[in-house]
Amino acid sequence: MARDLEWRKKELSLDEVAAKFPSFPKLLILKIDVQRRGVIYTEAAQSKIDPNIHQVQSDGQQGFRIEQRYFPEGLILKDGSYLIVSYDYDFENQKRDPYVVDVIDDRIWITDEGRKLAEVSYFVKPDYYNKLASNGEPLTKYISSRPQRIDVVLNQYCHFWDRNGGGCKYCPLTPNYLKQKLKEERYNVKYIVEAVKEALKQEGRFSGFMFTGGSILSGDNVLDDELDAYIELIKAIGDLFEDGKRYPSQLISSAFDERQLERLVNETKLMHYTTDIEVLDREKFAWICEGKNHYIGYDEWKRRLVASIDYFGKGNVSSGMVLGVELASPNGFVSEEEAFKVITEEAETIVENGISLAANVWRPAPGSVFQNQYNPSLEYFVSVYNKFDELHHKYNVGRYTDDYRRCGMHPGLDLLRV
Amino acid sequence: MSIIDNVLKEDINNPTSLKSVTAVLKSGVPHTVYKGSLHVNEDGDIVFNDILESSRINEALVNAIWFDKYITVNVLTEDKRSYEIIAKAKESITQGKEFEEVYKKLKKDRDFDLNAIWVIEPVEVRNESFDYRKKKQEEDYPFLKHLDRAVK
Ligand code: SF4
Repeated sequence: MARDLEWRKKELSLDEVAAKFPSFPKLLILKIDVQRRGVIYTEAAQSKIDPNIHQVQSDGQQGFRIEQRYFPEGLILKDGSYLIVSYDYDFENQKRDPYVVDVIDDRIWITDEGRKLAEVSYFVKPDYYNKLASNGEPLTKYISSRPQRIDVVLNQYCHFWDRNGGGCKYCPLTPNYLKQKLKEERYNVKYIVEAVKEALKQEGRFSGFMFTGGSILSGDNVLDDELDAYIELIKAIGDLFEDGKRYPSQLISSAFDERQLERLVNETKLMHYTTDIEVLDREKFAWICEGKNHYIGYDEWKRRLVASIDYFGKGNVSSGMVLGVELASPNGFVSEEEAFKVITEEAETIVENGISLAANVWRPAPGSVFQNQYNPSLEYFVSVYNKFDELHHKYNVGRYTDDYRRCGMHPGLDLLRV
Repeated sequence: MSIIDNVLKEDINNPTSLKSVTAVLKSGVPHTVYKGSLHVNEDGDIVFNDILESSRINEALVNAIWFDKYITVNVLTEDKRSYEIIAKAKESITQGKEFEEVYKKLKKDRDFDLNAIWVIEPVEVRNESFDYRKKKQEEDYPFLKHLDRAVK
């Protein structure tokens, strides 16, 4: 796909979208657009990276990208929120121009066409970086981190890909795993715990965990092995925390049924449960998340998501989704108007239960089935996030998981700050 | 250059002064809190800690930084001199070495957590001390007086 030199003329600009949504903070519109269009760094911006201080992509492993460039792991904005642009950036095949991080008057700015838009700084490296586990491997192999969250990707491979066409079409996790010819599907929990113990020595750095990974379908019943693996992990880390209390932790897993949820809540000190519905339309879900649809199905996934509130409590359940992918071709919605109507109506049937929607901005990731597609307009993303925010406030959802500081990936949830 | 002079800076940084911060919530309702940690830094900006992440002042300050709203800081010294400082939100620090240093001190001294260190930039200072305002009104608006106070 070649750069469309006329793309700016075909859609509303950042300023025009901001003018259309005056009660939507312009800084968040910019965050959404940076995630939508991607970002690159000038040499001057790269020279601002201090390898002893800053966390760069090439320091650690990240299943969702292969590129290990000398780029900051993420950006910090002046409102104290974080901007994650963690998928690989396809330098060759972008229809739109990316934003550019540059240095102007010795300060680091997100710019577009040379215009300063927001001053930023770079993620600071946690103290456990550059340290080794007892097996001699770097601790960064076992955990990764946001400025305030420890992330553990338990299974590096997703078994929905075992089925032909079963992997989610926007997802680069398993394609990246296969491309790199990795063999170690799951790490030994012992080394993950060693990494966590070291990370926790840094006072004031981390305020929560996010556990996730590729789906594991095996077991007496589908997903039983995935459940066992997470229980082992969450329990082992839980042993580091006070007895009799849950610890600030979130699991993003496949959709467990009631029997599995009961085990998860009873056998661990997990605080928050997330299972990603991904696409808010039964038909589009069946096409885009073929494996999820085959093994569980849209209606059952949604039913289990809602049922999990009985185990974790209102405010402690959320669902991720990949916003914009419903417009992928050839089987997605053809118009943004129709997509908006369908997915916001469907969203209410989920959010009305007190479940928040942690929606990512879909930027076609290299390696994914949808890698060369064109994502929707900025206006579309902002209008959907705006509607979701209305629903989130109306139904009083939990506001501190996947938020601006623990995650930084879901600009729509930043709106819950006010 | 900051508009806060050295005298005011000393007054603000004096632990015996009472200091409040007011910002407006999204609903339009103003919200005020008292901030013992409030001080003026080397750049002349006003800095204070917000301890509770779920606090209303945090909401109001986020509203201020997103929508470029004014914030007011009121200072009352022990000898009853009073100032109002009108400011704009500049930065909310939620991570990094400075954050961790403040966090560690708060944890050690008071067993507190830390949500954010807020940095706000003063744009106007008003002397609100009663004696000063009274004198100024008498000079500027001699009309404003009950007649019985003016009779011989
Ligand atoms: S379930 Fe879908 S989104 Fe999740 S890891 Fe597997 S393919 Fe990726």
